[in-house]
Amino acid sequence: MSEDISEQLVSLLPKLRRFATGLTGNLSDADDLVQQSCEKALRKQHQWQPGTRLDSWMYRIIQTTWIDQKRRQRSDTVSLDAEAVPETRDPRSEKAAENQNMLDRVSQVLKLLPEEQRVIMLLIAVEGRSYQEVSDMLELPKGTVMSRLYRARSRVQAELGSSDGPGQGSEHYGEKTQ
Amino acid sequence: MNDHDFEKIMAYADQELEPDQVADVEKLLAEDTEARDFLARLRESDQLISGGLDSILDEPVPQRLIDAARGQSAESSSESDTGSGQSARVVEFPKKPAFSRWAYATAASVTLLVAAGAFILSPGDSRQGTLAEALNEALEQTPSGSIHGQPDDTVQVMPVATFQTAEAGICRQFAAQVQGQQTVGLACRSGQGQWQIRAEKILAEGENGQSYAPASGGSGPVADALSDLRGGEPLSAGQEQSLISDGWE
Repeated sequence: MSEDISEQLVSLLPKLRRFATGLTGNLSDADDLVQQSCEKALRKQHQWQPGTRLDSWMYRIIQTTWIDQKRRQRSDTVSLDAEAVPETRDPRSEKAAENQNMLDRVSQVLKLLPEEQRVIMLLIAVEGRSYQEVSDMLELPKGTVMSRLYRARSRVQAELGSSDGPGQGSEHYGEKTQ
Repeated sequence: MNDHDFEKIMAYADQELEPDQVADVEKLLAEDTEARDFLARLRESDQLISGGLDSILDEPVPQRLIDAARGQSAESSSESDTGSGQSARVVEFPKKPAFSRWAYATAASVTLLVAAGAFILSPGDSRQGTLAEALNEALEQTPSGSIHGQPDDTVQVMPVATFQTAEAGICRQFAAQVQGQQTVGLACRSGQGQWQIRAEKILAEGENGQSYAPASGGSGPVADALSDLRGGEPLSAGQEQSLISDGWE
């Protein structure tokens, strides 16, 4: 079983990196997080039930590992200010630079969300999971998943609206969700 | 339009509505410009978020991650053998007790770092009963850093740190010597002076017992168990003493 899990994990790595980047805000921290999470998963693989989704199990491990890290670091809390995000830009090509720009911008917006909203936003808007799957995965009532998702999206839209310029109607999301 | 309407439109975008609710939302969308704007912006911002992150899917995956997933990284190669805890291993017992090597760990805020080369006994081993009995007494009464038991006793236990966990209440990390074997673990109070072992690891001979790390920052089964139980930082000596005095209530 060990080999099966390992090869499945290898094939999941791109998605796990994407999810972890959404949580951490940059690829370097995301890779550290994914590495730790893979090591943890292999140590605990007897807890994974064959027939259930390995990626869901890994998302949960990544999320709890990330929360643990944040908890340990809380004494020297990182500023939520967007300027903390900049990553080394990839000089290889315009396309790479463009991707990096987009990633930076997305990371900045996601960093504004509380952890409990960010993970739900990522699982539903990026990973395409259903409300019920996320509810099961995070052991939260479905209504809580929905309300956190709504608050997260409202914040994201307000932020994108204000940075885009036009910001059509973005104001009411911020007010409505307080 | 109210919050409820916006939430329904969001659920519509996520294809989470029942057919009759879909009809309601589509009617709303047909009639209300604000509703249509909301839906358009929601889809646009979702696309921006997922589009930005999707670029990562095309990036080459670092070799260290592939190694980690295959259990070939330095950390996991030393831990994976012990992780499943399923198989009994032949353990070469220390030839002489080395109890003193951890006796100096007197601070409540430190714990033994579980390092490479340790093993877990198979379930049902008779020593577990002996250890469990001694743990109940030791963990119930003994402050972290103090040793419960005499040098000639079959079992000596030293609580190392105490944690308040979200899932299992009070848990204590311990180090013990059982019939000459050094072991470290985590046990949680299950009420009325009973402590249940949640994780345990036997230190192999030659393992560096002088390696210490904060409990919440270590790795291995003990730290994993603590993480699973959502434990925070170790309690201070004062907090711990007051709990011991109050019978952990």
